Amino acid sequence: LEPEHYLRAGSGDRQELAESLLDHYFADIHRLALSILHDEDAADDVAQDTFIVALRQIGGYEPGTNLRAWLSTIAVNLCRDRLRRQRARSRWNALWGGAQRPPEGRARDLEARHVRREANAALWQSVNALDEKHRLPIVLRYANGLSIREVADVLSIPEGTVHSRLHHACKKLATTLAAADAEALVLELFND
Amino acid sequence: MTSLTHEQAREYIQQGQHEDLPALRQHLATCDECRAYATTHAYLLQELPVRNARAHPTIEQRAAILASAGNGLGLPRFWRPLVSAGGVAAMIFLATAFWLVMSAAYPSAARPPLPGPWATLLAPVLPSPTAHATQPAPTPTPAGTPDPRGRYVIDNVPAPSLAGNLIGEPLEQQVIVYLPPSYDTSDKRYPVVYALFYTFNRDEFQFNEFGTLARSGMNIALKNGMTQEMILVVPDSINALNLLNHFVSSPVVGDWESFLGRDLVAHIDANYRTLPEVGSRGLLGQSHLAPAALATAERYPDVFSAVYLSEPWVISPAGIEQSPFFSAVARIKVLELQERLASLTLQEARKLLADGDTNLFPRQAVLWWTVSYGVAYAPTDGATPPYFKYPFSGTDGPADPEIWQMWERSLGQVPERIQANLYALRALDIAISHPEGVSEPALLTPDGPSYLSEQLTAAGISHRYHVQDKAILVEVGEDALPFFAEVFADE
Repeated sequence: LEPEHYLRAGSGDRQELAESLLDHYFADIHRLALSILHDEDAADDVAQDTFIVALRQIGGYEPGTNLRAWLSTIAVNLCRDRLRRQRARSRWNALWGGAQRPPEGRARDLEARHVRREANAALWQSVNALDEKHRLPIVLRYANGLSIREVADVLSIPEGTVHSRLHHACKKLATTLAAADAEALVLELFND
Repeated sequence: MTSLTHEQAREYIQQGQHEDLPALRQHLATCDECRAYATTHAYLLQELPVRNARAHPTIEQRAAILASAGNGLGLPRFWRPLVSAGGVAAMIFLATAFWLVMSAAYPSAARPPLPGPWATLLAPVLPSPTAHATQPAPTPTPAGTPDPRGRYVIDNVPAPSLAGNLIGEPLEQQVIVYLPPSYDTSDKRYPVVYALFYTFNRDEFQFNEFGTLARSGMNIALKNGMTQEMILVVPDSINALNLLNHFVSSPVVGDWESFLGRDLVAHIDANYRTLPEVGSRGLLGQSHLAPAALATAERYPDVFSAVYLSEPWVISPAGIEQSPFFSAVARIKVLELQERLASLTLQEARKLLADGDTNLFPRQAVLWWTVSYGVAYAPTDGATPPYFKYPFSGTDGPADPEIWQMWERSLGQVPERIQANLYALRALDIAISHPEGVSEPALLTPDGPSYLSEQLTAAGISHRYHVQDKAILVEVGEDALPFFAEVFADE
């Protein structure tokens, strides 16, 4: 049954609600976290925490609105917290221990397993180079397939602002895409 | 037909209605900026979606989430923190503070004893007053103290087999040697696993990662109950041209199979406490390097008794015919690169292949694999770049049969290769892992591992085959090393 069924019933079993939420939205939320954090372990943690927080705050959700967007908001906020902590940690490391390289072993391993990610590495590099204000709308819209409306809901900004941020971000990305035909090459290779 | 503003045009593009709107078409025909926006939008829609996200929570995640739903702990909300790690830590803190206050208030003889459970619980954090007085001052940990996780060293190994190679491959190769936890505290001898790990680039950091990978893999295995400790040896997977080293033998790259089977093994046996016998040596090959591990084990059945092939998905039922190596775009790009390399010196070629050139040689997987593979399996006779032959001379036209045969050498002709190596294969213990749930093939086909397994079965060669979805680190610890331990114990 859809999670909304348990939410509308009001007194539904929380265990069943949790199961239903996981069945319907875990993949979306994990994908969202992965697309922002680029680390499978971190994405696992955020996905888990998102549902724990959601179940704790389920009273704040208004049944019949957009549950996916509501969960995505929680996930995005958890991702932001995590990124903030990472930035603080790297500043601390830079201050006290010299610049430290991120652990790339696992990332490399994942790249080997998922060539698409490697094939898109240059594209993702460009996306990640955007500031957060412009990166999140791009990631939510294109990496996760959220509608403009949902992006607006998740980021708590007007739809017009989403449009203008996407426009600005696309303009920046267009320069990168025009400069290198790498992505086009791989795309064509896979479609050939 | 009305004219659109830029904002309206972009809105329509986002709604996906641009195909049906003549006004939008007209706008795009005249507005470069919106056209670029539409192109980028279409490209991102196709390329940016994340396809490797987890579809379902793990068992542990599900349990944690369901527990938080309220039915897991069965405790009132107020008490839940007390059973969490934080709650326990807080209680220890409070009890310690209480004890310290009491210590200050009472002379030691009159100090109230801690209740039994607390005395046990706090023993690690509270110093015993008598012991404290008599204990010597701490001394620095002496050098060479064994790491309980084992340690790894970077060793320089003479490589006479590589003499005469054309790409400047040094005749002394760096390898990672991982020594297990008891190595420094015993005089035991250990079996050795030689691991060919796949990587994209070389730098000091990543080379060291192989050592960490070996150490972590062994520690996972030991924690899981494996009792047989082993030495792990990991050679460099990137060659002197900054391409993936396929560990094959050719006039261009040198005789890598002999390096693995002779030079390296001899050096390791001579310098470390190994069990220097065939029944105590294994080869592990990951992904693109699995064929190399198998080929080396086939060539040296007197040296290696077991081979573990982690996700050898580069092997294909279709041979190399359907390979992206030879798609129309690949042909253009590879031929362009071949032509450019032909005008370069070795040093320039090395730099080009290492640093990449965003217009000609971005370090993208398919092109990099193609050139790496070509240099390994279809080398030229010349002493200068490009170092590889390509079966096509243009986007159309048939393949050169002789060169095609060279490209088929590793990834294709699986049944023929099995028949040619039946004797060696029957003597080997073989394990194959198959990647679970991979929908987008890395190179040729995700069916490669199962196909290889089927062909081995058809040839009557017993082997293990299992489907898994683990990161290589976990796979080494949970699957590969236990496999070798079992095989070595049988030997």
